[in-house]
Amino acid sequence: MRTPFSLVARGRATVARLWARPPADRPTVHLSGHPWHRFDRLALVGRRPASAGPGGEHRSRLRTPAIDFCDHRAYQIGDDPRWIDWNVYGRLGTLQVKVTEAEERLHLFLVLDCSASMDWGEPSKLGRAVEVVAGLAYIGLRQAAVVRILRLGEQLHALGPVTGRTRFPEVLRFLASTAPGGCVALTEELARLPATLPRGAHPIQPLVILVSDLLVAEPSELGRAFDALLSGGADLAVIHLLSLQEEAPDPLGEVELVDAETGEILDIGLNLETVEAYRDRLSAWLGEIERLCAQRDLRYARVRTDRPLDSLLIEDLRHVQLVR
Amino acid sequence: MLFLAPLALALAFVLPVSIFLLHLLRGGRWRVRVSATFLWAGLAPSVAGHARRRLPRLTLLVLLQLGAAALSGLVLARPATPLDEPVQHVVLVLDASASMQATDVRPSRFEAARTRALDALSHLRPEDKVSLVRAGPSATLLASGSPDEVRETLYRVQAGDGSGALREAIALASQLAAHTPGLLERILVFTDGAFPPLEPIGALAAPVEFVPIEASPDPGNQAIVNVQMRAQPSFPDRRVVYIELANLGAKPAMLPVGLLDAATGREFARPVVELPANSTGRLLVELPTELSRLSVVLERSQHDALPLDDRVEVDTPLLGTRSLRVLLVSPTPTALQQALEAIPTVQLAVVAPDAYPVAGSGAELTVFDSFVPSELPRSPSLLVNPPVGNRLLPVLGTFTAARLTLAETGHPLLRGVDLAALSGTSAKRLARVPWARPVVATVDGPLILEGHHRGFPVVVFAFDPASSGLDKSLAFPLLVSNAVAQLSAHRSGLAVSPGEPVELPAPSGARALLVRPDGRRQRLEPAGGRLWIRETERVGRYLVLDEANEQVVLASFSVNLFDRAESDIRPRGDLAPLPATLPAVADPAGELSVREWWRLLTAALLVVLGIEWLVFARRG
Repeated sequence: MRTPFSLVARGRATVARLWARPPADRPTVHLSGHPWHRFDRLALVGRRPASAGPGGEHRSRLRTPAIDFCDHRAYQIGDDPRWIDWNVYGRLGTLQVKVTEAEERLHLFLVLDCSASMDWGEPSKLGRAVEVVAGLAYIGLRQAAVVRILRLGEQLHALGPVTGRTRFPEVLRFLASTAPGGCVALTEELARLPATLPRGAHPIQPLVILVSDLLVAEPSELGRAFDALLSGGADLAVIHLLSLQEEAPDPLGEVELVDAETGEILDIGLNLETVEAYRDRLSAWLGEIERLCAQRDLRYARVRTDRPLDSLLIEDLRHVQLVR
Repeated sequence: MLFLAPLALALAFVLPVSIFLLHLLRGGRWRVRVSATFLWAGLAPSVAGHARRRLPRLTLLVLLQLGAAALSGLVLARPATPLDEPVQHVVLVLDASASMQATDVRPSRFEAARTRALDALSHLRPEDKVSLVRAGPSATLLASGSPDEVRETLYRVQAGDGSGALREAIALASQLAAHTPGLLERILVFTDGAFPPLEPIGALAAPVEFVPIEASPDPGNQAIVNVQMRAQPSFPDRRVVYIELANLGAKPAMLPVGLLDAATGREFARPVVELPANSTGRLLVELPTELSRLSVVLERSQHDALPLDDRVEVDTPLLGTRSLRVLLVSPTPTALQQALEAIPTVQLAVVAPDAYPVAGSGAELTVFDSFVPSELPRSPSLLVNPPVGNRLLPVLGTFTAARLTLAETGHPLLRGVDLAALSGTSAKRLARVPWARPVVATVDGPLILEGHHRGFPVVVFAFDPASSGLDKSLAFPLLVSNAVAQLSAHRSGLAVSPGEPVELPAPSGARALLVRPDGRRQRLEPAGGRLWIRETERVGRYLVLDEANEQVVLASFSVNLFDRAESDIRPRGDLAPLPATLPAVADPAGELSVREWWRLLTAALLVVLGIEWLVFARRG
């Protein structure tokens, strides 16, 4: 039972936390002090050909005339004789052509879920999501990718396209102004996303990275939204944020649970059995999300908000081969 | 069990009830924000229909909180239990006179008195109040508080080298006792009884009980009680020292007396004086011409319990023949002129008041008889019989001295003077002036005053020696001689008694540093062009040095006991208890004779809160 005397200390901590929390219209995170240079050696890994044209630093699957040697293969009719490696012919007596690797520009779409449910947990999921997006944008800009950032809130805010690492401060300013955006229909917003993608002479196949808590009651709806994105040719990756408090809630007795996003109130008695049942349900729901992503061959990273940003980007995202 | 603040007892009821109501009204239902409720839906039966107001479960936490709340109210109500005996206020008066340093009681009478005082403290309870008064040259309140607090001060207090103001100390103790109505006051005086009968103290707010030290009835003490230097009448250039010795014991003594040059430590004479029991002896020794400071040492015998009065040190400046220029301004100079001319060092000039001021007289001391100029000279002055109408000492009338009410018996002005001769003298009633204080006074007004006017010492005789017949008595020339010695003390070295404040002219362009006989140092800050040294309780040599160059001695003086009454260390005082003469005042609050329990309850409250915190922390 939570009681007045015991609540003095906890109440003091709560007051301190509320006191420290900035108003909703002010930036919720401070990004300028982070040592971003730690991510200089990271690079995003795309599964589609880079479509923003040559000149980037994104390693392409296209084997085009270039200076970066990649491999040898047997000469085939139609190959340009200029690429025949005559040294190999001199030693082996067979015609082999040099295969080189091209570097192209990448279209990078970073989709940040700014719904009210993201403004929850300690540390806040939204704050950590903003940092993750900033880190990915930094890596992308260093690769000379074309970076766009979309904030899914009550209103859609977009930044970009931006290219070049000199634009990173602009990205930070944009992200620093991020505030929780109330109730967001994530599946609908994602389904509308293909329409917002730029269209040119050639269809672009952007790398879309969704950073969200994916709190959708029906995972199948989420699957349909993913399908819509994939059908547009996007290379989709999902970073699923989960807070410690979501994983391990306290048994609190009889409480009124208030949905952070919808405001819905649920009267419930929270005892050890209820919390255990919640954990089972959460586990099943997470498994469903994971299965849904695996079916679509999406790169899916579930990360806890209390993980340090460096560990999250360097270890967790490398583990799912989103960066290398 | 009593409650000194019974209204606060209501809190002991209100606080637990408030906590109980808080639990009841809150119904144990908290509103908790979660990221999404769909993960929780249907996991447990809804409690939406449950009654929100339910009796709280009596868990350990709730019980601890109710206990802490009840204890809080109880603490504020100040519970107390009446004591079997009322709270006491004991005022300890510790005799710190020189006689308390006598060693007939090992290690000393003062240490024995300290032990007795500590013993008295050990019988007091923590709630009793104790005050500690030291009867040194003046009465001083050293500490006041609980027995433990006063015990620390008692360990540090030291005996003095001078007289003991026992009467003033008892009066001070009575005042302290009067400030604690409702307590059982007692005044305990720890003394050796070696003091003359106390003068009437006045009304006492508490009974006085003397705690005598088990001193020997005849401890034996030989003392140097007086040292005077004078010129030989036949050879004015030669100086002789007059030494008065006393054997204050029941056995005769052969006393070797060492006379040393204090500057070099060389002994130049060692006469032996034989003194019968309870007798006084005198010694006259011619001084070497170059001697500037004389040290007289009495060889201590086994029947000498007080070493303090066995050694003295005096300045012996070169006097010369008639070297002190004195100007007597008098219409009828007969008696004063004879008294002044009898002083070997005085070179006297006499003028009538009409002829004053005398240009180029160079007088170092001016005696005004029945005349006061509009402005005193810039040198010491002796005013005798101030006339009516003078502006310096307004005369309000005349009176005939009856019984003396004030006489500083140890004052240098009165040394050797039989004060009985002053009774019946006709004197002027002088208005009170800020620069002078009475030394001898009657109920009608002062007879002898001393002070400083514009920085120079002044002595006033309010009586007319000729008209009252005083000039025929032996006291008059002694009084005049003492006054001249007092007023020219700066010239022939100061004679200071223990505890007597010393005033010196402030040095120009130098910072003064005082070095006491025990080696303690003190920077002296000048005030009004003078240096005041108030702590002179230790006998010995006091040096005023230049702080910048401590080799330079700006001034020096010696403090010697020279107090026959204090050297007589035989118990003789009346140590019968003195009853309280003021009616006891009841304590208006009536709440002091109890033992309060709030400290214990506060500690219990903190323990309960700590346990409650631990229980909560362990439950997460």
